[in-house]
Amino acid sequence: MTSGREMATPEILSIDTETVTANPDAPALRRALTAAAKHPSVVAAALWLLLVGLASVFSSQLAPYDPLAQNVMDSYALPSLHHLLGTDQLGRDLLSRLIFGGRGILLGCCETVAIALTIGVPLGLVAGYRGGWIDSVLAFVVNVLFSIPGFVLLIAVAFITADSLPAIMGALGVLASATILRLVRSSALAVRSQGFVDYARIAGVPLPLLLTRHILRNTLGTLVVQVFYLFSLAFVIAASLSFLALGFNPATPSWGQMVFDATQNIYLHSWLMVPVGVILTATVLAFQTIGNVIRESLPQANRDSLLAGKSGPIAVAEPWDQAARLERSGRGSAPAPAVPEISDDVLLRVDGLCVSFPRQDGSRYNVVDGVDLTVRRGEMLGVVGESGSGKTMSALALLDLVPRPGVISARRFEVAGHNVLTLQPKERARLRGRVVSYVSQEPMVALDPCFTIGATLSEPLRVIRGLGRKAAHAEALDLLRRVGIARPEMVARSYPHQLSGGMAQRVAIALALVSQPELLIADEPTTALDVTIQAEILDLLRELQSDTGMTVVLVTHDLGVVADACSHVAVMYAGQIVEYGAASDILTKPSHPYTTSLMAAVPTAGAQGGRLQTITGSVPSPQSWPVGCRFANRCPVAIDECSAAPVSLQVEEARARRCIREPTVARLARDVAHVVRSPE
Amino acid sequence: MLRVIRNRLLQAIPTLLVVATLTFLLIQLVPGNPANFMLGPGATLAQVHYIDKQLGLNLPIYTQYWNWLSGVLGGHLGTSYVGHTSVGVTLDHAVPATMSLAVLATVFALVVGFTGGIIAALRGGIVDRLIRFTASLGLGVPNFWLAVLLVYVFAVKLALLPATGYTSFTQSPKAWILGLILPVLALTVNNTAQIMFQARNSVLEVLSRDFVRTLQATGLSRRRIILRHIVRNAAIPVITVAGFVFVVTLGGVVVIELIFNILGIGQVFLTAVNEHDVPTVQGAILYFTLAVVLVNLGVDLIVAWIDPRTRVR
Repeated sequence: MTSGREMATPEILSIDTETVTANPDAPALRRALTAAAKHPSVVAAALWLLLVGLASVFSSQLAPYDPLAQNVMDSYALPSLHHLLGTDQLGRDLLSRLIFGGRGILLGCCETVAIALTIGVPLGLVAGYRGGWIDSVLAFVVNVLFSIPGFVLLIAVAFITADSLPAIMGALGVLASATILRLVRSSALAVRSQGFVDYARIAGVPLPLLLTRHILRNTLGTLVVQVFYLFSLAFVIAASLSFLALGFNPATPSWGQMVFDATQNIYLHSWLMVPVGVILTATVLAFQTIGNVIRESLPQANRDSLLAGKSGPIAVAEPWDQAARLERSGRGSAPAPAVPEISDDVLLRVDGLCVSFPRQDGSRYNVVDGVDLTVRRGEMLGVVGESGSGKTMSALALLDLVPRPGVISARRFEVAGHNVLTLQPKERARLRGRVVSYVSQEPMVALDPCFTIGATLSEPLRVIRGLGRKAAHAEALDLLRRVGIARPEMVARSYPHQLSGGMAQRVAIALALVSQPELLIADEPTTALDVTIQAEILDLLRELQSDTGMTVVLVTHDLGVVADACSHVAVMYAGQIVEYGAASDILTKPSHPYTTSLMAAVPTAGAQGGRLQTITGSVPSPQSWPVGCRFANRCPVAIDECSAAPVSLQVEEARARRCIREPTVARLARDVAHVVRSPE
Repeated sequence: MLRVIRNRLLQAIPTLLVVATLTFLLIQLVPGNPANFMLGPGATLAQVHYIDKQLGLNLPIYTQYWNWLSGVLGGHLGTSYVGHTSVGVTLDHAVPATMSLAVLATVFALVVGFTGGIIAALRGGIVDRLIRFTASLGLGVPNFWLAVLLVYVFAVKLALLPATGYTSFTQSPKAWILGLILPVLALTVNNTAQIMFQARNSVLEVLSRDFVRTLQATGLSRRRIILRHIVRNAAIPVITVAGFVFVVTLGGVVVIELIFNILGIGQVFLTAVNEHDVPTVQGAILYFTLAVVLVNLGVDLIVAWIDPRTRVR
């Protein structure tokens, strides 16, 4: 998922640097290859290649005629039962010539690929893994190979070796090894820095084994793709050479030579073009198709687009999922909304917010399932939960920026007086930045790497706030100063990759402030940062909030952050809010077992030397939410009733909770919580 | 940026030197004596020695190399064994045709392929599938076969465009472009398809990056984000591939020039190969290499200009 989030390698070594930096585990690769192998176009392509291959191996057995047998009386025959594909200018059977004509070309391709791999893989591994002078020398060699006009060189080789096809295709293999070398090198480089390689080395795994087992495996997917592309390239080149009558004996038929024959007769006997054209095109297509499909099934290739569609996810009044709808109607008896009725000081109000994604079969499932939120102006609301609780999706839904193919729905959705449900997609898009703004989790990738900080900040200042170039620049510097950057001129001239994480997050916050939003949504803004920086960024948010009266929704998994910064808190679990209230209230007297367990899992300095508590198990996946309380299977105080029916959000004064047990019982959860360590 | 330009130039020079040397050594591997080839089978030993001496082939190889290299550095590529004309002059005459072909084919591929790739990635669905299917076909068709087909349809059947020949731009811009349409089309179809696939993948990759979300959240319009940010980021690998594509096109030029009877470097080269005209073969390879090195340099500089992260070295 997070491939390419690391800083790009300083020099672009290969087009595929991006994809090889990922570290797909072997089973994922196998799954991808299996999935690709089942793809209908791959099956067709593979069958075609098999056919062509077999025809070339068993040509003498398969060909109906001797490919060289001439019969001038029967030249230029069109397809007939006698000659299924007709005959050429000398009356030779075209089908037989086609069956014989691929052998040399295909053998040549295999030679090229074999040589490219034999040279490129080991040298690439060594260059990437060892680095140093070996790497520099090989980098220069690769540079030279890339500077050689390949086809021209091959013709020269044909010239020197008196048309030796093995020599020509071997030379192509040497040239092509540069591509393989680069590819393997960059993935070896990417893998080298990862912990498991160090570990294997310390564990005494011999170097060759380490290189092949651990590093090669990580690049295998991309390498397989490259091999198919290389086959296709070698095929086209071999066919072109045979067209030029280089490297192929004129006495034996070959596909390129057949095209040449056809060109000589194009004016009168154009049929000659057709069979050989189909064969050539289909074969190249087969190699390319297999390469493309595998490339697209590789785990690192499938990432969702973050660009909202033109129409955007559509907000409709009713939730998508039938089950969810039933559940909510079951909840109809629940008392008044969680928080007081809408009034002037309410900035954000959503009821029944759902985000749904399609299943394989076209039906939809919710990942956010009926969230009600009311945020007053100047409030700082913390949304807390484990990963998978739907808190980030809820935050993105507030911006109408749920990744495709997600769809947002709500019964009520109002921001700063705008009824979002009635707005056109374009109008909804206009709320972004101007009314609702966003700070993301990973500052290092949140900024466009191609622009300086100054340019990044100036763009919306000029486009949205209509400032002139100079005014925008001055305002950008001012914003940088406001987010606590001491030397704004220098930072404005820098590119994102030149900043530290904390600095980049300050810039990202400045960017969020550009259009003077009323609501700032900060999605785990401190998670990716060092602990000391975390506190600084949190202070900054609090400061900005108290200075400008801006409203903030702070998504976090860290209750400490909530305690530090938030006035209110909403605890989310499995797509729902399970507890809501004033932060001081909830944190001192949690009344939902999940909140209690979360609090028990926060390491505190004052705790009396016990083991750190963790919540056993993990959040159920959205596709398998139980009917009843979704926390029941992990809840230390659950009873049978909990799992029987959906639990509604009960509102008591300024608080709300989704639990049927007494608050006092729920609070016990802390004491009986399991003390099993589990990651997250 | 100036520093980057200087560094890349300094890198290009040794590459060019090494390739030039390799070319020289490679040609030394040609079996048989050029004198024998020039004189035919009936030549006497004395005649061969005379020719050898005239061409300097009797000198030690390092002297030959030095003579050749100093000649090249001074701009003298030698005299053709066959026509006894200056190789440099012959090649310089052939350059405009070849460059017209290769540059137009690459520019067309870049413009059409990049646009197609962007549309395919952004629209998705049926548009995406249609574009990809067309591109797949384009990828599969061998250029020499396509060239013949194009001649058959547009020159023979429809008689819309000339089947062969090249008119220089200075002579008649109209005839120049009309004569180039078919050969460029034949050359560019593979390239366009290849760039299309790369562009589509790059755009999809860029779309999944976090900054796309950040930019949307600042309130910039979708159109602006696509044109200014997504296209720019996606262009980085596309430009690199366009460089490869140009190199491959230079190879295709050799075949296409033959089919369309265009007197470019490719034709000069092929003829020289068939006639064992060593100085011309060497000169032509050098010209091709120079083109590749210049394009690689250009690609590096454009990428460095677009992507600040690559300016480090």
